[in-house]
Amino acid sequence: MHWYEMKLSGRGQTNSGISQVCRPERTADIAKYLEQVGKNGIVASGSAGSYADQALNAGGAVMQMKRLDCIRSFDAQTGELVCEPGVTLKTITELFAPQGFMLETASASGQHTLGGAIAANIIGCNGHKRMSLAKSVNWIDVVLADGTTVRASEKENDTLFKAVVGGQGLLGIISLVSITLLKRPQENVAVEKRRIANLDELAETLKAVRKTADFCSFWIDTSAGLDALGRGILKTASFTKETLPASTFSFPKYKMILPGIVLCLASFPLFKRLRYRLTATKKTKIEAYENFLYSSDNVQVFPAKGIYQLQISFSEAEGPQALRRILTELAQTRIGACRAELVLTKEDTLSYLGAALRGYTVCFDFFRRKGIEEFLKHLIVIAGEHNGRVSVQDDALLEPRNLVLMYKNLEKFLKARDTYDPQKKFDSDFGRRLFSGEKKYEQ
Amino acid sequence: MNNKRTWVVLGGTCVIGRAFAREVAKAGNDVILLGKEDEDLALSANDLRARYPEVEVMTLPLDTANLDSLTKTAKQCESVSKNIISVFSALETVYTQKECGKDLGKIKNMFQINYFSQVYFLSAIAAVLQKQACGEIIVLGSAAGEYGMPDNYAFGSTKAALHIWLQGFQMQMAQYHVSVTTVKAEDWDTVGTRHYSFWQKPIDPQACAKACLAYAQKGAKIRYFPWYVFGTVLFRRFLPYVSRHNGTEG
Ligand SMILES: Cc1cc2nc3c(=O)[nH]c(=O)nc-3n(C[C@H](O)[C@H](O)[C@H](O)COP(=O)(O)OP(=O)(O)OC[C@H]3O[C@@H](n4cnc5c(N)ncnc54)[C@H](O)[C@@H]3O)c2cc1C
Repeated sequence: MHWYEMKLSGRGQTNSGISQVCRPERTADIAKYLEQVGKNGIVASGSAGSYADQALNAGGAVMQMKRLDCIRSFDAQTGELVCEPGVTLKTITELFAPQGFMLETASASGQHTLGGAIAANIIGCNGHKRMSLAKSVNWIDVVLADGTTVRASEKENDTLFKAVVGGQGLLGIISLVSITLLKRPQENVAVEKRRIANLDELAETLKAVRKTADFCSFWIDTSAGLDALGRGILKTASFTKETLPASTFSFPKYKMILPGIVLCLASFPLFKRLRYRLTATKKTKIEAYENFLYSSDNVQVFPAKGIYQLQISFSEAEGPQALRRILTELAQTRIGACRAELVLTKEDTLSYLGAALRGYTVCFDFFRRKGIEEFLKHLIVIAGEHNGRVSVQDDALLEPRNLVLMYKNLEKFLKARDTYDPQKKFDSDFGRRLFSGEKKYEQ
Repeated sequence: MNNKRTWVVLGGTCVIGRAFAREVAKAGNDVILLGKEDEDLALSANDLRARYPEVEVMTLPLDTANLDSLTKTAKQCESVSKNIISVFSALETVYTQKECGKDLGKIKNMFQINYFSQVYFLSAIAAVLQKQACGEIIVLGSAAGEYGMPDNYAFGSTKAALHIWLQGFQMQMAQYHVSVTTVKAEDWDTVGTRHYSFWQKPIDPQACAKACLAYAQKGAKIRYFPWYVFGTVLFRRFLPYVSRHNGTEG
């Protein structure tokens, strides 16, 4: 049993802290490590892809799960995969896509561990067809504070299941997962990119896209205002029987590691205008499904000062109005987001601390600079006024009072936490930011 | 390497052993996993079978406490293998200098596993590889075996002994066209307490496994992983008093 003292930081580099870190290599070791936990508790960490403090525990302990990455079994008839939580989404795709299987959720990065993705209940650019990852989870084994392992699913121990899924590691450690991989309809996808001139056109187009496309994401030019408010590039993709073109030449794929300054450039209006003008093509591109996935993994940016991510879900009714207000604020204040993307979602999430609503999920990345925190808190208030939910999975700025307004199942989550971990052995910087002091939740 | 191999992986249940087994299985080679715990061996073997169903995975128990049994284990490997045998050894046990200071038996235990077990097993399997007149042996060494540091010099001495033995062994096996590659890794996060900085990260087992295989394919004799460890070793060897901190552990 080894513990290491390490300085850990969130992916966005806005939060960091020194923790005692352990790396179990066998599921049986999880309980043994839990026995040794002291002040400030312990939290699990997958690939530490969360932007803020979700997998950090300054002054406490962190259990890194990446070494628990054994596959226990795979049933090629039913698609049931039983594996440890440290297996990454990319590994699952690499191993099982050639056999004709795919994960329920097409997230932007494949580096995430399955445990981390379940604990954050991730959604992807097929959210309007397939919803979140939790839907395909058959059961999970959770190691609780007292070291016992409990199996939870939608049918068995459902309260625990709904609290752990999307629960950011605050109820226990996911030690084993059974998940059903879907049969992939075709090997390739036909990808299209087209320009959308403004929000009205977007609303109309998305209505059709919801029914037709298998994957859809919309890049927003946040610098455009007035008649062009909400313009951007709509990327859709659908499975196709067409084969890959016998390509004559293609650039080798390298992972680009870029300095933070690039993000700064990406938030300039000129860059956005150029991207809007130059990216869209009329041609349909046929791509192998595996290559189409995990678009974020080709580029890694090291932001020296940090990035904040704000991900908000709106219902279908409130979405257009809310989006108009937020984009107007962005255009008027000229605070450039280095990334702004919208995906569609099929239904409300089942997890207590999940954000997704049937409608839209919009995600912004902002370069950290003077005054940005106040501005983002202002956007959180606007989201609240439109019954939106700011996703906790990458957020750094939510406050307890925001949670009360946004999460109708918050009480259930807190009750489950009290039942399964009354001593708060599982805790993190995120947990202390949002859940310390029950008084804050009196409504 | 043109022909299919059966890779014998010593320490097939530890993280680097598992990573290496995955790497060679991915390339279509069969694997024999050697390890102490039956349950762990079964877990690693099932993992490989689920990932690469077409690959044959076998397991054999490895009793490092009984050195004479290792000759038998080497023979078993020969009898169950259908292809050219190659060996990867990640056998290693680690105690900090503090732990060794409290209990000298830990040093003996480290020598038993890190040095004697590997020397006995490799000596036994050498005859098989010599008969084949081809094959690869990869042994995971450590940068800790290159210079003494206050927090792990007992561990380092076990690796230093192994490095010297491997140097001679490599020359001997070269006559039979068998390559012996020693990979000296650093930041292998199993010893003591360390602060990691932005640029100094613990090494990724999969990346290390991939590199080990690539080194062996090139017939390399000694390699450092990551490559910049070579610089650290040079620095510490030539400027010992500047670079060593004045720890009093142990
Ligand atoms: C480039 C990039 C692209 C992204 N794309 C998407 C996207 O398309 N859709 C989306 O929804 N999100 C996306 N995210 C967010 C990301 O998917 C989530 O933050 C995810 O949880 C990260 O997984 P991880 O393995 O890195 O987990 P970590 O960041 O290490 O942990 C996330 C949370 O899960 C908990 N946890 C981890 N492992 C376990 C376990 N075994 N048991 C219990 N709790 C555990 C941690 O305590 C923490 O609270 C993206 C993030 C990045 C950096």
